[in-house]
Amino acid sequence: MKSRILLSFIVLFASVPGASAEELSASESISQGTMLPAGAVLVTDESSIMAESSIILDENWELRPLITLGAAVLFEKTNDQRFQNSVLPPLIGVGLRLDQDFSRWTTRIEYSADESLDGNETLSVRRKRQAGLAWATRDLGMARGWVPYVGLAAGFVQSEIVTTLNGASETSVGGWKGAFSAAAGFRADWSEIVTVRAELRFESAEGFKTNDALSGVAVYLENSF
Amino acid sequence: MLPGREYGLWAAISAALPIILLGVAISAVGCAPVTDNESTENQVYRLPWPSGSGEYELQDIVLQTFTEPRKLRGQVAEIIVDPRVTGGQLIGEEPIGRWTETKVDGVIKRVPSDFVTLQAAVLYAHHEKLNLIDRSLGLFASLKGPSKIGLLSRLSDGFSTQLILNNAIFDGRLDVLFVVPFTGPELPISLNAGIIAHEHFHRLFQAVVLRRLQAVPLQAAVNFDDHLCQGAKVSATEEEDPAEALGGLPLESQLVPLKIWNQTVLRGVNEGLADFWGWSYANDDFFVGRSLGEQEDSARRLDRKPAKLPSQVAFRNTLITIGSSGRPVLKSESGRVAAAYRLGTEYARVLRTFVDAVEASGVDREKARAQVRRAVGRSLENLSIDISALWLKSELNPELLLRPVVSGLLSSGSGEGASGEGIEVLSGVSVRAVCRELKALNASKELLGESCPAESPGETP
Repeated sequence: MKSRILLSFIVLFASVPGASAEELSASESISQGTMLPAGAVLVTDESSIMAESSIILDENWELRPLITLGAAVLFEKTNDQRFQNSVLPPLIGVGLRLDQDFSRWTTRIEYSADESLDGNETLSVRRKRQAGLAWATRDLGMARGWVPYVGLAAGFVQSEIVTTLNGASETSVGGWKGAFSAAAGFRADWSEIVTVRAELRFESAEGFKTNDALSGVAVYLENSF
Repeated sequence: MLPGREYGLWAAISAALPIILLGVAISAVGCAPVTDNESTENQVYRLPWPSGSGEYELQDIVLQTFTEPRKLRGQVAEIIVDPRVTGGQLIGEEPIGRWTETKVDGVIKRVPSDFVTLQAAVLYAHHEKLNLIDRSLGLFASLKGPSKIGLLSRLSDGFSTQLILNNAIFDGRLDVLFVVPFTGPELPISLNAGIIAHEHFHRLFQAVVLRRLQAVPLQAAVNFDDHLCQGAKVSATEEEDPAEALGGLPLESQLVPLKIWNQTVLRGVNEGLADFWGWSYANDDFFVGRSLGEQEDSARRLDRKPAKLPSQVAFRNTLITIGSSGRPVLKSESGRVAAAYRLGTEYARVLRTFVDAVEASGVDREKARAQVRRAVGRSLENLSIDISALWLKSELNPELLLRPVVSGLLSSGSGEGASGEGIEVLSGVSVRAVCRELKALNASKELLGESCPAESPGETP
């Protein structure tokens, strides 16, 4: 629970412009239903954390910080029609959830990393790939059950190559290059703060190359505060 | 408390963020290049490459003609991954070359990001270097267009549905080099400089020698234009016993039909010169074994001194075996292919002894290799003329097929230090050294012929 409090503090403090712990108090926020800086969270008792983490913009808008954790199974062309290379990147993200009366927007920064290895005992190529993508998703409804959503992302991808020849390895680190991603899937709210999302995902290769893409399935939990 | 209108601004920014991201992504995609035709200046590729000793290490290789690295093609070669052959044409999906790029002092260094790209890049790089050799020897004009290379090719041996593995096959009809999947623990064939050069030589031989033979009337039967780098694994069906076809106990000379004799000798020449080409390009005594294992290597490595030159009688014996009836019969196709490879190894070892002899006469080893390679390359035209003249008339004499190479190597040896196309011609000392080697191998007078001057009395060998 304490770690959740700390994370809420960090996320909110970093994301709310123009606010500081000294300016507002938790009691003001709760009583007046207005936006509150994260600093106020620390002075409340633990039972009120959930309610206080959200920022009520007006009667129709509510902003909540969130974290995501999940995994994907993504497939990549191998140039060989018989096989596809698969990678299993874990997905970690932080962001914001904006609830409206009729829909929900989510923006988040997601980090993922995966690794693949090919070759034989004499010579092999290991590729470590990491990506940072800024996602925007829109839920097409506000029901608590399964609701479709779509998402788009842009960001950066980087590869590190380890070539091993006769036991001697050499590492080459590439620069960060632009990439984009798109997703469509369904989400369900397990509770007021926990949402599960399952999606089909398409991710371009480095340099926005669409003919060299990763595509597959991603599942992740979204925990808002 | 923050003013209410600031909340509105924040909400607007939050809502606009997805739209901004979408715009960035779309505009970036729109700006992405649709072609990767690039200037090849200041580009190096980090590839496994043979060092001077034959061992492989990662090296920076400068390529001048690899204009479309993301499509694995350039001016000298086109790589097609997992190809299909339809209507006599090699087709396949456009491959994806994956690279990690770094730029230091204006020089772009590309490192292959996956194993297919690595193999394709090495194949391309060796073909560019081999192409330079072809040009220097005047052989390039015989080749029709860039090399076509099928990587991860699925081929069966023609007699079953079993896929060929761990091999490379040049198909002369399609003018394509097929590299099939490699499953062993050794250096993959696609990265083996010696084997790549061996297969490339088959393309040269096809273009210069076999094409001429195919033009000989009634001899479209030069049909053995598939060349594998690993001869031991060629499977074949047993052929009809020629002894029975001839009726009674045939003479040994009748056992081997002229067509089969000449085809087998020609195949041996092709394989032998290709082995020498591969060895001289990679400067690697172990180039066969590096990918195909010790057994194949011990049968084919070139650093074993030949006892004598390939002879007609010895070659005939390799084509005949004792059948189940106790009578001599012609070997099956697989046996004849093995005989051709053995003959080829003899040729290659003889050429290797020429290099040793030239080096022993005081020439730098690299130059010695280049000189003998030049003699081989320049002999192809004369070889095709000689073979065409005899093809329908008589059995090719394995020893005499070396004559164009020997005369090419020795004929220009009168001048001391004269140069041609960047390679110095043999000095008189080197010529005498090669001639001594030929005599030690019991070369016939026909082979020694005009090339080897009679040694003056008292000359020290």
